[in-house]
Amino acid sequence: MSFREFEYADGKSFKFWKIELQDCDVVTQYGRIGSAGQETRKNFASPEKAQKEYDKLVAEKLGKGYFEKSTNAAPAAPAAAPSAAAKDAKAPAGNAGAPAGVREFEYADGKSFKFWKVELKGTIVTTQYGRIGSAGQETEKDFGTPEKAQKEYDKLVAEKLGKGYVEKSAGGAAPANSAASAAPAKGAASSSSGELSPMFFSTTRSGHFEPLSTFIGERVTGFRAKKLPKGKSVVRVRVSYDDEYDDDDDGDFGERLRAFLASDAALETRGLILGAYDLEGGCSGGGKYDEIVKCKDRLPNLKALFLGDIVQEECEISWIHQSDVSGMLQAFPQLEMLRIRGVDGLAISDPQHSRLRALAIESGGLPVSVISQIFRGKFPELEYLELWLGTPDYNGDCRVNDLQPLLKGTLFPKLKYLGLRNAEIVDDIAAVIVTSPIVDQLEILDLSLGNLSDVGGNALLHLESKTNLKRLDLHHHYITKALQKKLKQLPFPVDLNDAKVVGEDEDDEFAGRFISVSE
Amino acid sequence: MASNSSSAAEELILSGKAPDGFQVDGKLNLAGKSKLKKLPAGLSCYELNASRTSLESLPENLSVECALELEGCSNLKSLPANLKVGTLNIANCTSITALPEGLNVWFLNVSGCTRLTSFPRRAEIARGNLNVNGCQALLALPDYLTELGTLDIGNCPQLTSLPPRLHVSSWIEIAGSGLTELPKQLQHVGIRWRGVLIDQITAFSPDKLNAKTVLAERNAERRRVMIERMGFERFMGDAGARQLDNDRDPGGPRSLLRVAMKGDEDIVCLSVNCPSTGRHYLLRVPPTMKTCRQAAAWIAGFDDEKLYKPIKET
Repeated sequence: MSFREFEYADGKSFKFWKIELQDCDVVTQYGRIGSAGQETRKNFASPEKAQKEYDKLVAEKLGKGYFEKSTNAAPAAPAAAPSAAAKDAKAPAGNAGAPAGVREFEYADGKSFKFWKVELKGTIVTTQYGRIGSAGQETEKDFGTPEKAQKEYDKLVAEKLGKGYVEKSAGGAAPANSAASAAPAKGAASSSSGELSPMFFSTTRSGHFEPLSTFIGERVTGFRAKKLPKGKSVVRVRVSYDDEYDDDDDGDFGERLRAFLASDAALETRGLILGAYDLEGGCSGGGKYDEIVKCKDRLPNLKALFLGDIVQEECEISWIHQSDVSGMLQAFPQLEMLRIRGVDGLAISDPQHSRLRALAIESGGLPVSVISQIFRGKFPELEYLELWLGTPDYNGDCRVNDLQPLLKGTLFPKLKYLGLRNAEIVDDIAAVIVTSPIVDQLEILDLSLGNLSDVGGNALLHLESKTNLKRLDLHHHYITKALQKKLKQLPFPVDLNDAKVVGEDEDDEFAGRFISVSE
Repeated sequence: MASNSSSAAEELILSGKAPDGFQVDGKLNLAGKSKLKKLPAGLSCYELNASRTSLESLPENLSVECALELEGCSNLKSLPANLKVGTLNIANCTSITALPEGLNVWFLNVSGCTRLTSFPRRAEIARGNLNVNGCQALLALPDYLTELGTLDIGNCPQLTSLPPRLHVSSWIEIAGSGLTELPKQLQHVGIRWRGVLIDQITAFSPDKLNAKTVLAERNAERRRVMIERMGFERFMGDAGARQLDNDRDPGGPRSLLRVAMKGDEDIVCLSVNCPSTGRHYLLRVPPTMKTCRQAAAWIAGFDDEKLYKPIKET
């Protein structure tokens, strides 16, 4: 008999899901946490078929971001092996101890937090995958000959690298021994000491925003005044359209934020996400986030801050109002990560922070005034810099030569990741960045979400000699197939997903090439 | 020394009261201040825009970190030696005859400096973009140019060769230059003709172009450049085009031309001039078109020409 229990929580939901296999029956139970929920029972022709359905449903829930509640309960039979493997992941990094043909990868962004493991044994390729901390799923395929199996193995590995998975044992950018990455989901809070893994810095892969469900490797808990989060360290405060269906009204954004700051939850919070604060009048009226500066003593453990986890249905990115964030930088000297979405009104008048390791600004048009404030600032620990340059139509007035102070490579000596994303000038950037000293210090160069064409793509072929690079991210681009092939020959993985084609009727080569996010 | 805020600093400089060694934290925007003739000695800032001012020279020890914009300073005669800045833009500074020794820049725009004849003997101009478009008196580019992102030598008729060790990552603009071929190491560089990417044949051997190749090109801008390079008359003759109709529109005379194709449907094109740019285009229309009006209506998306009543064509 198999039994597993899962939970899911974000700003919208707070629910459980249980599944039990009883011979030929699959019994599921689900509902809001704390309630009895509903039960369904489904009968199958054979125990094998029931087992198959059971596995399928569990995989589905894991894929949706459910966390397994009780990690002590014996997982279903097929998953037993990966469970052990997941624990083994805590073993010291390095290929030496691993069996030949085993490679393990991890991937994290705002939506996902998962591992993928592949093993080659003779003619058989075995893969394991799932949410980090969970047992995951296992698939096994026999290819008849070792050669064919090897080929498949290589193909799968290349595919994962291209998608941005980071090899666990590779060191460098990979968070080889991040506590959170190997800890079971329930014990995520145990990682509350130590630095953030660089794997968590990147949260927003696509321009189609969704509310974050994970942040710094932990699930996001929506703050509710009448149901204080306990033992959670990543909290989001916002108002959302779903509120009107809720019985307990927590008041407006300011009231919620004050209630959160007054609660014990604030004291434990490592990651704070501030979302929409006014759904009536767009997101106008800046300074709503500044409350946290006044109450900085209530957030002694704050390491990561996301200002404006706001999706398009709530507010267009160009309407999201921000303010001068210098006060926040000053108020939280232990902050390691700051991500900002929306740049209307944004300034960094006193750009300095002695601990900040990751700075990301998402926009449809980033004014050059903000960019030069960053370049003139002092961020000696910065490892990760992500700037969405956008389009001049939305105040993205940065030209490639405005980036020269950064490209010189002397501003941020620890920089390992540079993202110049969602940029209409990405072709111009490509022309110059390939010979810029900064590339020599980078592990990841991210030019994704822009309107990169063959003009810039051709220039990027000059990165051939940059063997320090571990990854080039170009996803969302307008590069032709022939050139994509050449770029894939570069000595590091190149993400060429989400290829766009200029409309068939468009004859003008500069018409119809759009960046991912503008308005 | 105390740093000064931008707008107050701008006032002070314009009033002539800024002290020597004046430091400004950030950007100084003095663009268009036609009375500005002088900057304080030892001025230091992150960015300086003094475009379209009456500056004749710059102080010797000027220090600009990121960008120095001096576009259209027609009185500007010289720049300080050993000037080091990320971006130097002196486009249309028509009094400039020489660049300073020891110049160190990534991005250099000297386009329209019609009296500029040569580059300094010793300088570092590398990694960024070099624009010398319209430097009609410029005789050669210096040999120390080795690495550039893009290069614009358009309208430099006297430039007939490129430096031997030069690599350009992205593209070279060549329209109106004296260049007749690309050196070996630049065989894979993009070639631009007034902003349009073209191939080597169109660029350097337009005599080898024929109507068939031109008509096979899908990009209308590139087709336009190819016809321009080939010569419209030669193109029409080569294509064996027959005129089906002609009239006038706001761009001037226009005509509907048909080229018979072996084993394929006829190519019918509307030959028009753009009323705004004066550029000549051949726009392909369905072979069933009989008149210029009908073809123009079809291009605008009207199957019935009677419904096509443009208020204004631009």
